[in-house]
Amino acid sequence: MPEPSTLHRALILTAERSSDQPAIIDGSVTLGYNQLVNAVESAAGQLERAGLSAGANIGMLLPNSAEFAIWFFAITRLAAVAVPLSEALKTRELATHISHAGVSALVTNRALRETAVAALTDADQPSMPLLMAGQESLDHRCTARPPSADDPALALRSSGSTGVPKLVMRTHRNLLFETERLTEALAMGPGDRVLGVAPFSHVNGLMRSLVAAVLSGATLVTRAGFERSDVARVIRDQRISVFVGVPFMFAMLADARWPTPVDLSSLRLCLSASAPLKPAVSRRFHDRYGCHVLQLYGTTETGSIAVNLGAADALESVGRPLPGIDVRIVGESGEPLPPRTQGTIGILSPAAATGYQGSTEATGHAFRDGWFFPGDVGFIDDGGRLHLVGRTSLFINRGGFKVNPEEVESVLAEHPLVRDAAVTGVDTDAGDQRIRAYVVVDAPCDETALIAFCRERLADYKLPSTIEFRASLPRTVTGKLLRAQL
Amino acid sequence: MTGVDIENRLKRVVLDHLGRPLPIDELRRETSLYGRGLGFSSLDLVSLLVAVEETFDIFFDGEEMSAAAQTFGALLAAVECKVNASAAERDA
Repeated sequence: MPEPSTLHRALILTAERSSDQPAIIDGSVTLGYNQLVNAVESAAGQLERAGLSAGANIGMLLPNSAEFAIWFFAITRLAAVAVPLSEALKTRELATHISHAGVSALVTNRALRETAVAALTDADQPSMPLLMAGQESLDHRCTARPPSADDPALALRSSGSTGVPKLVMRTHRNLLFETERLTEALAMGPGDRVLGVAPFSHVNGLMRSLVAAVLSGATLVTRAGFERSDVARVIRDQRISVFVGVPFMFAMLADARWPTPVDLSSLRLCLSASAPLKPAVSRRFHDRYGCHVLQLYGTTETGSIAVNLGAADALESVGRPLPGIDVRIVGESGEPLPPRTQGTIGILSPAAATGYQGSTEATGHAFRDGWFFPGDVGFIDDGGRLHLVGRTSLFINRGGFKVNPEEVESVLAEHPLVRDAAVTGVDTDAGDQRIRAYVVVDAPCDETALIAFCRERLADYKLPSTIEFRASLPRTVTGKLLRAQL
Repeated sequence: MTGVDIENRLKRVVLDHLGRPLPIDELRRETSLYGRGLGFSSLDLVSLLVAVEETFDIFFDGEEMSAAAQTFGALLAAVECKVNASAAERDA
């Protein structure tokens, strides 16, 4: 049987094979695979009736939910491009994202409608079509041609190894390659219950929970946010077998002081991505719940690259590359380096985008000769496992979110009393980082007021935890900030 | 542990977690933990509450956590309630 070449085709084939399986459990609602396919057709029909067609970039401002899955597959069914938007973003950030991604319609729900309208007004697009999830009608079937393998399907923002956000487009072919290789490696399929709590608006939650679960015939159990007691209850009650999360989540569970023992014995596979996981957290999690947390490495540009499977003796590693994906370590001149030698990581993957939309310079910097260079530093051990030892980029890892310090610095610099600002990450015991800002002010200024100023303009996870006042910041004669000297 | 002991210990945990100098007298019961109060972000609040749990050997369920993460007074009341409940359980 030929392999499906589009997300839509893959969904249809999975539904044929798994018609008696629940596809998605969202609170008290259970959606079977056939119901999912019907809901996708209806939502795609609604998009069509709203005048949208192939190639349109359609924003998705939705929490993790069955609705998110329905509209993601509906948008891609229309051969349009899904542009997931994080609900954590503030109005101005959403507006910037919407404008940057060339969004021509927005899907949201009742709870987020006001936020969506404010963002569209801020983006100077108040009349953009706004579609409400939860109101799909079976009267509107989609009549548009199905998508082709090389149609773009997903547009996510990435800051790459440099600060300026860029748009990454990946095609149906890219996404299916990743999904097939990943679900095969993880042996994910019918019978698995996959927890969907990592945000679907990011590549980790979207591809490794939502798309992997649905297209492998497993059951996706969605949660709109991470709260450790809630997640523990869901894992126990729904017999969750696969949990893909971020280090912060696993640390919270590993160290929770439950009043009574918590049974998470249904878990067969826990994968952590988006940021380095401390091996000690994985061991503590294993000691309490009987399952190690293993690391997966991927990027927005390439999708999943490598995964550490069953290698409890190498918890610090992100494992071997998935089949069909090449990883090499190169030196400063691009020369391949031998095992155990640290260098820049290069990735060759059929799942990868081929560049950044509308950004030739950034594309030329990160995409070279078919390889993608994410700005990570690592080495390959004698067993062929990849180890990450740092990033050449400057991002702060905050609870699984990547924060660009330059974005926070520029917001601080907008404050009328701030003359100069710098932002760094400070490691925490939970394995992520807190944000520390350093500012030079022209007149006495209240730290809390500065944080409040940022709160109006930045998502909560980007807020500085502490602000230090300095007489000056270390800069070169050309004005470049010397972060290492802060 | 007396109510005053709990309050002083809790103040120390909050101030340590704040990561910036704040006179202990400025931490009042009506002081908000977030926004224009102490300015904790939601992620900071989660790690603060975990530190409070470790200090007092207590556990906050999800809704208790949301209720406690409002003002210093709300947090103090939640901690006192938990600590007293634990003491009563031990005495029983």
